[in-house]
Amino acid sequence: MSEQGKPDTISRLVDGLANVIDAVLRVIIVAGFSGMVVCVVWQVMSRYILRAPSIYTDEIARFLFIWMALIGGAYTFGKGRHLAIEILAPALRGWRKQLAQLLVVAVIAFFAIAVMINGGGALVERTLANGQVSPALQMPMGYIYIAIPVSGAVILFYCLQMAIRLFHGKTPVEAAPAEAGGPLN
Amino acid sequence: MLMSYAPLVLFGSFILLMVLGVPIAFAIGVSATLTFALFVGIDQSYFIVAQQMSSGLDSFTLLAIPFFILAGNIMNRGGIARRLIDFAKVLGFALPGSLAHVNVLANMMFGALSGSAVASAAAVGGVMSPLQKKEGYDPAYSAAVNISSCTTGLLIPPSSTFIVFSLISGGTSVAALFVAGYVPGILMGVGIMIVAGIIAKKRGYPTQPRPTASEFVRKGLDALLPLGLIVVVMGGIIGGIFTATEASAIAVVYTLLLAFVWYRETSIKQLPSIILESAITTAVVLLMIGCSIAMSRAMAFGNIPNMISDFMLGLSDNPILILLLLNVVLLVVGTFMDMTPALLIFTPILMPVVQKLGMDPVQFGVMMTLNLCVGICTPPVGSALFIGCSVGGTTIPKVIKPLIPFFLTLIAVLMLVTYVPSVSLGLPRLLLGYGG
Repeated sequence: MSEQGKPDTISRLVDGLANVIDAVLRVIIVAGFSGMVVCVVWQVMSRYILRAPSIYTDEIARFLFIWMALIGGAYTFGKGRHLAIEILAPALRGWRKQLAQLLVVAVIAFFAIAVMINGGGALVERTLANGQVSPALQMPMGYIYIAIPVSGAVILFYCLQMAIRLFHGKTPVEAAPAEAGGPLN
Repeated sequence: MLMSYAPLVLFGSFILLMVLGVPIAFAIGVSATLTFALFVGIDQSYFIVAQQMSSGLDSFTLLAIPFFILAGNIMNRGGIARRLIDFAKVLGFALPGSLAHVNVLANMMFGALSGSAVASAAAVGGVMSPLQKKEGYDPAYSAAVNISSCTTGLLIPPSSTFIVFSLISGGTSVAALFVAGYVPGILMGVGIMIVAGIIAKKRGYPTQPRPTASEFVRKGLDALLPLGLIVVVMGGIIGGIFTATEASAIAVVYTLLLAFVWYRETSIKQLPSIILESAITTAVVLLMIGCSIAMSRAMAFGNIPNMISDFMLGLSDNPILILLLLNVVLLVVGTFMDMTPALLIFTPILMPVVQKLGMDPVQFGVMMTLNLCVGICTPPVGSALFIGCSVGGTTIPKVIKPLIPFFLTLIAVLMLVTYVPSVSLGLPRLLLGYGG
């Protein structure tokens, strides 16, 4: 345990890196989201105003969407905003609570490593190897699926940051989740 | 013989992980992985789940979710709620307890526009509660009206919930679901207004002064532009001019113009943070969807939906009883589980049951959504309940008793939707020639 207010070098390094990653992800997410809106609006306009439907917008929008969903999913995880049912943690105190939170981080790290990095990596490899391309853009589908291992790697990094915070007796994320409401209601 | 453990592994690990506090999306993903491992081995199951996640997210229909959320978030900041409330005031002035009716009407309009019950309860309730308190309304009564009526926006289209249902149910028509939501959503609102009126009359809550004709016209014109969005979106979808996804992108442009060019009550500098906030809300849903697609495949591998449907259909020969049972199960699920995960997990499980009973998927989608709407108004986990109490300046224990008549109203509409197919299917048949 380090003294309060004087984080050790590793914590400082990891937190600093997390800030950089946060900033990069924010730019990707906002740019990708805006790009999606432009694509779909262009799709409608090209059909009705230019009378020359674009064949690319559907694919570009869908691929941006997959990237935004997965990168956004990683960013959202880093901010502690994914929806969980709080039954056990609020009832626990002290080291038991920390242990439960550490277990949660471990489960997520397992998913990130096994499914997203390992399984997603295999998916990218196989798709690139069999040369599958998208119909309109002729883009190798493997490039689209890279979003999965990339998202997994970012989630894994946040897991590391959370684990370090927990070892120092802090909460896994800086601020508590903002609202009680779930998405879409 | 490992395979016969599939239901145990799937549900066992899922419940265990959820209780531990693992975010629902990851709990779904891990339990799907473990279930697949029974059939194809652990290494191959990693690959399959990753593949299911990517193919689940590769859907043009799903793009409508971030777009509708973004349009709703832009509207939340743009002073649109205030204009709709002003319009509702001139509509509902003459009814006993008129401010409660104004609250319901504004929720129906703003909820439909923003697609969010919680945002609506906060925006409309936040304005209406202090006004009602000043006129001597019991805060618990006002909060109960606000909480129960904010859910109407989830039925009255456009509604992202229906898009999630469309995807997880294997491609039910979004247009048909949207149109099917109108009658039940409006019935809910009208039912709540009737009950609220009866209670208000008994307690002697006041009416409002009659607005002048010019006031009526002015407030109506003010609300015209926000409500025009519904005309553009739904008109475009019903008329076959564009798809639901394209309509949602048009909705973004419309709200951008309205909020930043026409009203100018918010600065364009806030737009990146509004986009980021919308992306976070979306990402929560999408990661859950990606993992749920994997889970529903794992269920199908283990033949779980068929087992459950055989079990439920074996309980009784009477379809009326089985539908009642389904509703009870969903109401219970809704009390502790949030709407989106409940929809994602229980749609693939219950779909075979209702299909064998001959229920149309659109009707089932409306029934399920309405069920889960009741769930977000009930403790222990109810997002509309929480936000409604906090903006209404009251507490959950105080609001439970006044909520009961409104719950019963919602359940009455639910029964209508369950047993009278034309309540949900009539309008899509009429307007879209829907074949179900």
